[in-house]
Amino acid sequence: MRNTIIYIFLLLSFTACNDKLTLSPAVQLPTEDALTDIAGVKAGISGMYAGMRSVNYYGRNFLVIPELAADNVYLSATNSNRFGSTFRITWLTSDPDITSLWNQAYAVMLRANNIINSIPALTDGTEAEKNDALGQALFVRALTHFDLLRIFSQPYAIGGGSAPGIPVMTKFEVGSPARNTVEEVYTQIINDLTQAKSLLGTDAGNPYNANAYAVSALLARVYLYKGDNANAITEAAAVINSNEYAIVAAKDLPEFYNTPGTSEDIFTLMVLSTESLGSDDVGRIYLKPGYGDIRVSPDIVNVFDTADARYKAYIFPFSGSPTEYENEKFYGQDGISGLYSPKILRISEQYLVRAEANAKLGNYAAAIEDINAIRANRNQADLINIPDADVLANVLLERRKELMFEGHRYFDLLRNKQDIVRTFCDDPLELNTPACTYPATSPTVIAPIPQREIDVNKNIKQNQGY
Amino acid sequence: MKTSVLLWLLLAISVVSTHAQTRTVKGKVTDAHDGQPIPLATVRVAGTNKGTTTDQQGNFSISVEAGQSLQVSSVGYSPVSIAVTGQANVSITLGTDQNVLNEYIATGYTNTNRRTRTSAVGEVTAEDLENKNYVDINQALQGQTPGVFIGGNSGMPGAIQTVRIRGIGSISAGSSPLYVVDGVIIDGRDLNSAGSIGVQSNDLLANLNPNDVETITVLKDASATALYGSRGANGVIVITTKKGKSGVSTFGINAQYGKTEMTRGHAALMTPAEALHYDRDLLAINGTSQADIDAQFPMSLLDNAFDWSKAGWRRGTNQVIGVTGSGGTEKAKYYASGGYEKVDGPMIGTGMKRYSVMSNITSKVNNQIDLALNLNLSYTDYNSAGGGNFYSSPILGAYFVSPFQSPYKPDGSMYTGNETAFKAASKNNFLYSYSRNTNKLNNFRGLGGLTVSYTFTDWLKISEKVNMDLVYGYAHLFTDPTTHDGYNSAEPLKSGDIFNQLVRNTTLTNQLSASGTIPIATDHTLNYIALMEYDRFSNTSFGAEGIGLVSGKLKVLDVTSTPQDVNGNGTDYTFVSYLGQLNYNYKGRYTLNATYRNDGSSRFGVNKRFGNFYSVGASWILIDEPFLQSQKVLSDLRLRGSYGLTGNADFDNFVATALYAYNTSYNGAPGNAPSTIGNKDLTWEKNKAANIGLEAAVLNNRLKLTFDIYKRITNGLLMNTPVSSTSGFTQQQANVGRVQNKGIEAMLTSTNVKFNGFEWQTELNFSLNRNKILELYGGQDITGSISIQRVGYHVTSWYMARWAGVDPENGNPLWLTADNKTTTSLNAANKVIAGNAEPRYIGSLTNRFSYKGIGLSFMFYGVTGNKVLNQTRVLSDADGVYFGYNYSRQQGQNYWRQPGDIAERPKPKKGGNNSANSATSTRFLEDGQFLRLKDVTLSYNLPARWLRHAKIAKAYVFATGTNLITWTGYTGWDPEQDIAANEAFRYPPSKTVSLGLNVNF
Repeated sequence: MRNTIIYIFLLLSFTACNDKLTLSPAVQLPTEDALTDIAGVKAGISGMYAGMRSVNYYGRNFLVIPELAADNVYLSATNSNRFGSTFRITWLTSDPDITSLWNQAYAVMLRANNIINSIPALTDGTEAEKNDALGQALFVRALTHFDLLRIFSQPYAIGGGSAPGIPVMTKFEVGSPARNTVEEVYTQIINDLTQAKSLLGTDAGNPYNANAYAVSALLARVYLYKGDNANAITEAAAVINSNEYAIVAAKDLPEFYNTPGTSEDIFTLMVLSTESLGSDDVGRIYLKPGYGDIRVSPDIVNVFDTADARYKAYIFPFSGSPTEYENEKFYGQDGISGLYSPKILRISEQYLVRAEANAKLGNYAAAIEDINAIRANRNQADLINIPDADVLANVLLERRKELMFEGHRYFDLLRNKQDIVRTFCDDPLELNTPACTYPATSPTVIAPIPQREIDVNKNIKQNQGY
Repeated sequence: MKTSVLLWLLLAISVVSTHAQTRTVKGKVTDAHDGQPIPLATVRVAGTNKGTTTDQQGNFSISVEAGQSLQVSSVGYSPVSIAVTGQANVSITLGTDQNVLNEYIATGYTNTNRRTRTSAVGEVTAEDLENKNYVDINQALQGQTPGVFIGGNSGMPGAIQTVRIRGIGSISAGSSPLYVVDGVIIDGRDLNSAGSIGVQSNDLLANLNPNDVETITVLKDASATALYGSRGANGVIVITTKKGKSGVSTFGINAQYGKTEMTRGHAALMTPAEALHYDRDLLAINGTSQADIDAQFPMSLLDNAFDWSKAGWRRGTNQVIGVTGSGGTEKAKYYASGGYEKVDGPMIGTGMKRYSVMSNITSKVNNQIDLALNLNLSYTDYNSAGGGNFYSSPILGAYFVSPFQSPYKPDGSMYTGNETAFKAASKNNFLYSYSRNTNKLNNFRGLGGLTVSYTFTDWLKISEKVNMDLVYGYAHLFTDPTTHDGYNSAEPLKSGDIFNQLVRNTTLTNQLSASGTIPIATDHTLNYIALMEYDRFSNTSFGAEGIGLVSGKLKVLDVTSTPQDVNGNGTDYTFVSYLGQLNYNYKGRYTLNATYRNDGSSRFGVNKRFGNFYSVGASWILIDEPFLQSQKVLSDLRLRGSYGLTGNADFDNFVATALYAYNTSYNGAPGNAPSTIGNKDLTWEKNKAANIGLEAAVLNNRLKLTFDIYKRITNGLLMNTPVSSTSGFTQQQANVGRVQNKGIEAMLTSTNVKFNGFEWQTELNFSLNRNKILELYGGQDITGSISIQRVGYHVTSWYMARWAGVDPENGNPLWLTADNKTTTSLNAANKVIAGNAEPRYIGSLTNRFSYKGIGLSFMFYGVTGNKVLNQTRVLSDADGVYFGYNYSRQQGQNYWRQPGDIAERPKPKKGGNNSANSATSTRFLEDGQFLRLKDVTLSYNLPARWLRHAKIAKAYVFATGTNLITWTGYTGWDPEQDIAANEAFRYPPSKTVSLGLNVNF
């Protein structure tokens, strides 16, 4: 009897305790538990967008790099040691801005991938909720791939589809993925967006989460970059013809960038006043007080008609150095200097996309019509009697003026095989540069794959020239 | 498998036969003091390995041959040897002897025989711990056993002590030893994470009353630490508390009172007159006209001068009062104590109080069942007056105020610091704020356990132990609304701040063990222990903050007008372990020891959740060999060696798990995002250690030497390793990297004189440790601003630009470039490895004199072979960076004044001279060696004949001094540092003298 008791006691005590070894922390959930229900997935969607607010991505750098590497702005000779290599277009493979952009875009991509891959296993949530979540995640996955492709690969028009793109990631994996071709990356992006479009609703009331129009708008941009002008027109037209959006009026321009959620906004990344990055907010790199490192180049000032509402609203003498120009697009939201909720997709760009695609397809009248739709709201007379040969140039000029400082210029030049030409160059006011013209076909106008990635990923190939 | 071993053993027992023709002697062993029988005393036939133990009544019987003698010994008694001359019954009495060490050394789960042990262990006994001026037993361990580094990160009473055993075995995981109290692993970390909330971190071991400790064993080699498996790699400190002894009932009181002062080494502030001279001279050197100098720094400033350097310091006190009672019978024994200790630190506003009670009760229910209850409750109360490097602290505060600024207004009231007239860089008058602001931390610890044992036979005892360790930490930060830190000038109604935090930690441990001695045959003994352990730690905390106080008198959150912050958190871990140890001895001379442990822990990745650890050890008692019987020189000679694999699991609880954090939001909606990449293969750091030890004695044990040589290599160091960013992460914790520690330890004990009751003993401890990184991820350096981890170099390597002195032409600071040329640009200088923070050599020398109840002992302790960064000089010896405030006296010495001066310090300038005060150069990196008179104790045992009438059994008076004299070249406050060796406005260790009395009735 006694032995039996002891035996039972021993058995109880020695019972394997493997389950006792599985614990999870109080403020975090194991990844496999975080996205198992629709509430978790919805939180994942918020987390995904929140990741885009990083200073290394849409929080600042991704809006600044494509401007500084082009001809709209220059880096002042007196600067805070930021973005020098970008302005000089002499990136080292260890460049911190390029490296952190790469890291952050992939970090956001992981957030999207985890959502996409968790949706099939969800146990709750309506079909509509799941579709909405999946659609938004696909949109962000496409956007992150597209942004990386724009920075790290030669444009389709220059390198073609077989040029090295970036590694396509569709799930969490600690590995050494090789670069997919540009064509493959585009295919992935277009597939994701096409699927997202079918999943998302068309309620345009909330521009802060991607809806079907945001998907179409991004798709229009993607097709334009790829050179698929017919599809670009189709997608841009779908957004424009929905009549959900209206080009912002001239009188509203001064406050336009400080106001999230105008009728112009298709997809805006909301940054609440409590989420300000302080001195790292976008506007503060342009403004004093603030870093005030980046000044508006006379190159763009000179293309403006001084009556242009955009010129009047955004270009001012630089504070403390009146011979220079200051960008006041992002002077502040909610009274916080320099705070900006990036208008990643807005309706004016769709007119410009359609105009550019039409111009490239020879539909000159249609192109001019779209340009004039914008000009009408910028205190600019309609363009008339433009020779066919000049239509594209006019479209691109209008695009430059409309989208200045929003992170498009460098990409727009390169994808149209236009060299980066700085007329305002070698001036003592600006950081000295090795050249005033950077040919669009030069391999080193494209940023290098970050050295740390080369070091840890044996399958990845560096860009030419590095 | 286990069953077959047991069967085999049973068979082995049954075939043993008694072969020699001998006769049987019966006897009884009793205590000389009270005549009580002594159970379980060891009775051996001298010169053989034949032996037995006494039963509960002290009886034994043993077979002897003619002419042989018996040796009888028992724990706590002097051994006795008697010749057996034909009598069939013998009666043996054993006397207690304070000087006789226990036959066994505690190793936590079990114990090991002192003579036959295979392991390298250090021992500190009660007499080295009691009646000292240390609140924390870690401090009392310093210098007591070789191979152990101990240094406080602060001199604040009860502050965290850094302990390293045999070097630094890790880079990013913990390197502290494991603590075991009465057989149970306890958490010794700073469980309150008080550092993050601005309260000086405190050492949980300061909750334990040092007077309740019987012994501390430091387990150093794998043979000893393998019992602790994945947590044993950095050594184990085993604390055994006092237990009652049968037959001896005592009641004692002890009291101690002392005075304590800070140690300031060579550091001093300039007097106001010296500071004024310096300020005026600086201006003159920089071309300011005499008239302007007189206008800016008139001599009349001295009228308002105030000596801030001493204002924050006082003569502190320490007080100890305790009662102890112990005693019992064969059936039940008890030890009970209560203690109170109060230390008012030498810095104003700092101090600690400790209240503790302990009871250890054992009961022998019957011949089979034993019960043991340990219970220790303690409560500590710390006030830290801000850490040393807070502006409001008297240490930094004294530098950041003008020497020509009195703390008092002309009307005699005190400046709050906010007045525009108050000249201080930090606007803090610490003399005003220290008494009004509080940084309090309370710890309540309830540590207790119950053990039930059932003894079937000698070879099977089953024990079950349940232990609880509850630690409640309560932090209370109060900032008075009128002080500088509390005053909100923009919104005066929001002045004042209260922050409270409550942290609850519980550790539950369950141990089930089987142990015993398996009788195999004459000359063969086999001991074993098999144990299963389940250990669960859980931590929960919450905190709240409010601002807006009307009065400085009410100090709870309810009186704040604006709630600020509420936070809560928690974490936990579990270990499930199985362990076994076999100890086999042949002829009393040859011992083999094998230990095995299997650990599973929630901290490890799912793919590597269970690990196996082991050690093997052997010892050989050469002195008992026949070939050494005839020699007379050696009185002891033993050799031992061990090899084993242990682990280090001292890292964050959840690094192995892929996690989502919920600390983000988008457009007002809560969000989640991946926060930890996780690593399913993450596992403990593996430590392979080898040890060879020699113990020798000559001159009838008058001169004893213990010598150990060791090498340990820790593999699979837990490190951040870069991964492809396409994973969404940039780094992953993985097991890469290797670090090696090797060294020697020696302990020499000598009885120099023993004559007519006079005795003089000397003990010398020496350790040498060489630390080297063998491997890092990709061979890449891990570079910090002043430190580096590089393959081939010490883990604590300093990495700095080389200071090259001062240009005699213009007084500019100079550094060296890579090609050893001087440069005036710190950025152009190249960084080199400039020594290490860990001392290479640690030594101590203790002398003890005793004569007729009078005892005198003094211990010297010193370290060498390390560099200390005197970062206080970045501010206090900064060539005018903080112009107009207080300076260290050294700033005024040998500075450049005019071309041609060969000066030690650059030309002083307002705002400093070209980053000459940067901590990233070797300018402030100083030699850390020192020698210190650590401890002096004079004691007197009052003669018994005086005490008899007062019915006092024993009375003992003593005077003890700590840190009385220090010899060092280090120019900072104190050379005794923690392992980081970076002194920046640190609360220095104290110098203490106290008197005490122990009386036993």
